[in-house]
Amino acid sequence: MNQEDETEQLEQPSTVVTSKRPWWKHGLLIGVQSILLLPLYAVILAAATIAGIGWCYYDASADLDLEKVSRPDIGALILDSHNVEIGRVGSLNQILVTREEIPQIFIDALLAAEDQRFYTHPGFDFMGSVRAALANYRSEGIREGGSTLTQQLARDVYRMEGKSYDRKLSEIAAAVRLEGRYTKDQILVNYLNRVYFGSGFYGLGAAARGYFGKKASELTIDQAALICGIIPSPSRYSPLISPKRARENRDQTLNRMRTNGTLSDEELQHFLSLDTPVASSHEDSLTRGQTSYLVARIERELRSEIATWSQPPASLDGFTIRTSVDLSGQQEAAKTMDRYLKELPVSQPKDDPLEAAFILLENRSGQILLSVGSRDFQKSEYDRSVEMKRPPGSSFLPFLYAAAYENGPFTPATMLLDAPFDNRELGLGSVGGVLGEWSTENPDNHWEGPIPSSMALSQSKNSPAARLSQHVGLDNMRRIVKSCGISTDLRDIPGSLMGASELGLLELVRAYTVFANSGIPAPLPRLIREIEAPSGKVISRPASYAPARALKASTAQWISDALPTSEKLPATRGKSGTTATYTDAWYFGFNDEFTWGLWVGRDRFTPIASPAFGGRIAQPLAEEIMSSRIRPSLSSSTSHPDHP
Amino acid sequence: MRIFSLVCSLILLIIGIISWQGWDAMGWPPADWAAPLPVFVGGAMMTGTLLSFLLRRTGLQIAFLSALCGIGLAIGRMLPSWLKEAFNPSDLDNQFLISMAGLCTVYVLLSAIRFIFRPRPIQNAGVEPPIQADED
Repeated sequence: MNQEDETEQLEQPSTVVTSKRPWWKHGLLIGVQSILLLPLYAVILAAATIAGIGWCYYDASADLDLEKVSRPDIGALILDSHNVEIGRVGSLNQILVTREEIPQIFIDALLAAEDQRFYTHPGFDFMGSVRAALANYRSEGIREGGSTLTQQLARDVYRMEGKSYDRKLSEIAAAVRLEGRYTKDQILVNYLNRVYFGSGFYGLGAAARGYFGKKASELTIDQAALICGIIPSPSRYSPLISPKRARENRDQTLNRMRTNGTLSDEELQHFLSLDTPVASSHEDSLTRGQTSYLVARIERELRSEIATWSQPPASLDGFTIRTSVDLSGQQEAAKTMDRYLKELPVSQPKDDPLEAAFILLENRSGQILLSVGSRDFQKSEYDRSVEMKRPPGSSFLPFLYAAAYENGPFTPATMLLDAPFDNRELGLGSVGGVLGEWSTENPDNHWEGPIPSSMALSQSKNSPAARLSQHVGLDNMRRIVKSCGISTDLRDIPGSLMGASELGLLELVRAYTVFANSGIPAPLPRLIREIEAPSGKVISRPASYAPARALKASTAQWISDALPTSEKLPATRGKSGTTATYTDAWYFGFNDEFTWGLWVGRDRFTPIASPAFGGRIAQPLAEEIMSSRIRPSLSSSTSHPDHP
Repeated sequence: MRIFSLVCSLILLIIGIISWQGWDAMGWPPADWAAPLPVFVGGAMMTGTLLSFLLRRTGLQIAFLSALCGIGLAIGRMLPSWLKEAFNPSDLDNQFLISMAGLCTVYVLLSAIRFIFRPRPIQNAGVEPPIQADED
């Protein structure tokens, strides 16, 4: 209390005495108030910030074409080489259903599995999103989506791909706008006509027809639950791919229906005890799988083609895509492949089955006539013909000899020594051992002594090739394979000279065309022959035959002459390949018209068998696939045509 | 504080009105609902300020919360484009939002300082007997 205050009190004869609150009490009060108020203000600030963010995304979604949801896409028609329809790009090949055709039991199952508060939320489910966000926070990544049906529809229609919070917020904003434009039933119908149910089935109509051979309105409860269980991951939960997972998800959906009160305990037990078999046969699956695969592959090629146009079209509706592929041939090849692999007397555990890939090219144009990327596309969508890179093993040797002949002084008559060779100099497969004791096309290998290089190539002798590789060198080898059309870099190891470096099937098949084309590789392989606009105008044609010469014509002829002829296919030559650990079996063949390549192996890099040679595993299959295409009357010889 | 609050809310209202009304006239890109955002925040602050002449604490509390919401809304509105590295501070709508956020922040900070360093109130210290004159 200061002097002024004291004076004031002395002058006042009052009985009431006033004073300022003590400083410590005042400070304590402010501190307590601040501690109590700060969290409240922080929450208000956070809420306002979230509102601002939501507003920002909602504004950004103003340009979305909301009518697109109910407008079916026509897409671009894809035709094969015989003008047979393969499918459509930019549309979903659906069987459209109306609200009346969707049974109530299916809606119950769908809501139980995917969106329990569908009829009450405004497009996004706050509680569901919070639950998903917490789960994602705990797993330190984005695991759960928490998306409502409306969000899923928005994501599908507007192609909101990827997993990020930005995409999620855009999806919520779009969903809120859709809820403002459509009724809940309209959203439900559009969702069910678009959603992917795996194995190439888009929409409920196609899924009911494909899995159970019936209309959507005829589905039973267990069938409805099984179809709904596929939605979270169609490529993994399809009953054609994994019946066990599909059944687990079906049971989960049925249990949720019980929790919701849609099913009684007795009904639940009854449906849980059912098997719910699918009607689709394995043959159907293989056939349909190749169609889906081709549509996906052609779409990728088309999109990258369109990306190079100066004025890309806003929509693909009405376009016609003519391709070089033979649809029925492709389907037959897949069936042959599956049958052949099934009959192979090697171990085939379910979790590590044998896989194969096959490519057939037209030598002059580089057009792809057949491209089978998976034994059964419905089970595995991994395209081994394009995406996979594996060591070609001894099937790479023709390029080593070509490099040697190109640079001289080697010729087919040059003598090479076939005698033990210390593998520590090459490190092929492993650093131990003596070359020739494994990884040779001849299991009963014996040392020949000095032999002509053409014979060494013909018999796929490893030790002469290893000696030759030391003369060729990696730089020369890289130059030759690049000019032959192999774009993948060879690894910087001596074994790369003899096929230890991983390469793709498609680029290897293209490189093999140099031997059929007198040293000139085929143009960049492609499936699309031409793209026709809705007006009928042809917009795109394949590139003209322009690749530069990779090898001298004499070199190509020498290699071609050295390669063994096929006993089953007239006038064709080829080379098989085996990797050191028997993980990959290859065969490449060619005649005047075509070049083809086939790979057999396992995705987990485990050995096919021990031993497993390309000549015994891959070659017979390649010959079986090609036997329907190459007939004696149609084939002439492997003499080389002149190129412009 | 009430005068300062009145000035701030007036400035916000003016910013909002200029950005909404003047947008097309000045040939700027089409305005969206971000343009009149300062009007909403300024309006709420003004309401609180006017109320504070009747109920001081309640009115200033409303003005303070309005300013807090103004900061949050402006940050939320700009945050997504900033995270996507697409934020351009020279855009007119962003400049208005930055102005609003700045003004609201100053207001909030000053209010907080004013709250923390407010004078100690006079309190009743009890009843004492009147001062007696010396008996001498």
